[in-house]
Amino acid sequence: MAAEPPPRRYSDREPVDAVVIGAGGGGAPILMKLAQAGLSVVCLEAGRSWSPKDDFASDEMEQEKLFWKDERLSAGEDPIAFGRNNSGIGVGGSTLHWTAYAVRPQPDDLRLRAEFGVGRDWPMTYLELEPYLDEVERMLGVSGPSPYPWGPPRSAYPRPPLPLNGAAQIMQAGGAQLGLRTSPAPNAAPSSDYDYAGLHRPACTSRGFCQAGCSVGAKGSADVTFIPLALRAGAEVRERAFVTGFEREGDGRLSAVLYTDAEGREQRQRCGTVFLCAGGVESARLLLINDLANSSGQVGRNFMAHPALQIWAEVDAFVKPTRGIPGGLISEDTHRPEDVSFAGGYLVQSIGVMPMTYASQMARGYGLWGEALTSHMRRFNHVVGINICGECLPHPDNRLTLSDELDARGLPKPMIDFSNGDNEKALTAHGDRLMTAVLEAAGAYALKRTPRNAHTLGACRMGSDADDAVVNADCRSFEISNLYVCDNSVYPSALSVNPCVTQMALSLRTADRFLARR
Amino acid sequence: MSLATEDLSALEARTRALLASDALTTPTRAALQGRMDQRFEPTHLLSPDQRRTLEAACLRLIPEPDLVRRTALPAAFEAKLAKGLFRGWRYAEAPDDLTLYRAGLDALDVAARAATGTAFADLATEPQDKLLKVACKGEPPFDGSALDHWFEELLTALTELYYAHPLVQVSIGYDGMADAHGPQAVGFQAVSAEAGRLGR
Repeated sequence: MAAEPPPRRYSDREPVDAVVIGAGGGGAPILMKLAQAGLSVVCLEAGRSWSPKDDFASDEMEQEKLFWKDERLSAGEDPIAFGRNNSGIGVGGSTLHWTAYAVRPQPDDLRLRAEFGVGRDWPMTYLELEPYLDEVERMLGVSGPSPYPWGPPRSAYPRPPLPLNGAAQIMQAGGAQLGLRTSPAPNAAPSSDYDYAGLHRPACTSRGFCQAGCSVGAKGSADVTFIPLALRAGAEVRERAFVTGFEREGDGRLSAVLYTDAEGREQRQRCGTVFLCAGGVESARLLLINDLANSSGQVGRNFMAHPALQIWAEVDAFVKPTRGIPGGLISEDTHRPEDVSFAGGYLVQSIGVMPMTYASQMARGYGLWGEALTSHMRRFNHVVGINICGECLPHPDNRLTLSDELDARGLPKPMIDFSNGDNEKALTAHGDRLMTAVLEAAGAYALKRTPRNAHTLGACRMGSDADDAVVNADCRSFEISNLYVCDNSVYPSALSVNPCVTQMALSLRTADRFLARR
Repeated sequence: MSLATEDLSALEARTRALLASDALTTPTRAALQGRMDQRFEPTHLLSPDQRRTLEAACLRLIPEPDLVRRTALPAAFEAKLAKGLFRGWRYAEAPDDLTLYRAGLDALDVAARAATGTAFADLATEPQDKLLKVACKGEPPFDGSALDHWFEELLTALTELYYAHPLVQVSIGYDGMADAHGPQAVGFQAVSAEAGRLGR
């Protein structure tokens, strides 16, 4: 690979064209597009950058450095367990510990209200996102089946599917018994060496540590895809820069971003436009702290988290559950199940797991302790799992607010109230019955359910009505013409798929819409 | 292989040989060897009574005494508490971690003394387990917001620390840390073939 040019440094005294807050799946694609269009752009990232080869161990505890650990308060009937399951920190954001699951939404995912009369529609069609989904899949070097069995025809995945691990083979066998169609899943890790846009990435080695950071640099996390291309095009990524506020002009437009630098000093970066991409919790929190862009009262409301029940089971076979791409197999036969009482649907995926995460789930999620825990953990190499990822309807009382407690920076901790509604409960019960049948048909036994909700969606939703949403279809604030929000918080509906590739596509589209306005 | 068939010194030798081998990458070896040899300074966060209760509870929650002692699980927990547990969230009703854990350990000891006249740490394992079952369900006297989810938090924190230790990982047959040689060496293809033989 050619030597990289020295990184660009912008003076904080001169205004740059744009500041992007957050270097994850929301911010990194925007940073790349704007830099490639010739704009001066600075990304302020709360965490540091990592060298996967030198800094990432095959060890869960060591890799906790990738998780967002500032304390959040979880309330409601189904309090969300944040930490390892959700937001990330560092250049790459939560894509650093992303499972690499790279599933597209289907066209009707964006028309939930039109189809079922509940939730919200996206203010754009699937066709508008499609070219960006194609671009994201090429950038990431997604490995997947071509043709893909569900949804409309799509461009071929750049690489054939990755090998199936034990859980994937169990789900495949159980599905075949029941007539449930399954397929190797699309995953953002190339099954053979991959070159794209001058970036080289080696093939996935199946070590199975996607959720603890990919030390071989195979997984298409933002730090090895969008970020290096952004830097090459002249963008600056300022590490360990924690944004706390903004300066505004008399007309209300933002003129500078305020942040605390790596040495703890207060700094400001003047800029023409702000892209707030701090993630599903921190973006809404920052707007609430600064009382910005919220005359609709929608900031923080409609927080959604996919119903994501996991069922674990044992098999006689020796399956080493950590090994292989974790989400090896998928079924979307349940995308719109017939004869059900709930709106939307879900996907089913097989899951691999690392030992500390599994033990933690068994303790917290299933309540095993004592001899029951230790004897079960001695069966670790015989454990398989499958889970669902399903639609979550927006509810105004599922919301993020500021608590009275302050964190070490003196900023209010976020409080997230979340309760599954009737739709989520009915959908989960349906998935529970199906997954139970699949596992039992495959001869797995000793089933253990660990209920959970995953992903952080909706707290700054997009829409076409300024009274009902925070940003418009271009992800631009209805109130502040040079403020964009673009991360999972803008999702008006949850989609019945994992959010990451849709987010990256939405970010590319947002950048294009912004550039077209200039 | 479980400890019933392998003593601690053999497990220790086997684990050290694995960690020293070239099957681990340099960052993985550094993290795991560091944990093997970690020593914990005493803190002043827990009273002597609270510490005794914690040590006794550890041995019931994770009843593998040789490994619990070798990994210094109670001291590792206390050291992590001193640094702040930083799991990234907590139940909104619960007090801060230190307050919660202290209250839970006190409640366990008070309940033991009320029921038997004996400190929790001095009880036989059977009455200890009986009390822990009540605590697990959050039933009186382990109810109320001052003890909100206390048992779940203690159990989860101890479980994560324990199963992050390389000795414990090797004891359950886990070798996921040995992945330096790429796809041919992670045991993946062989596993794949065997997983096809389903059922019992």
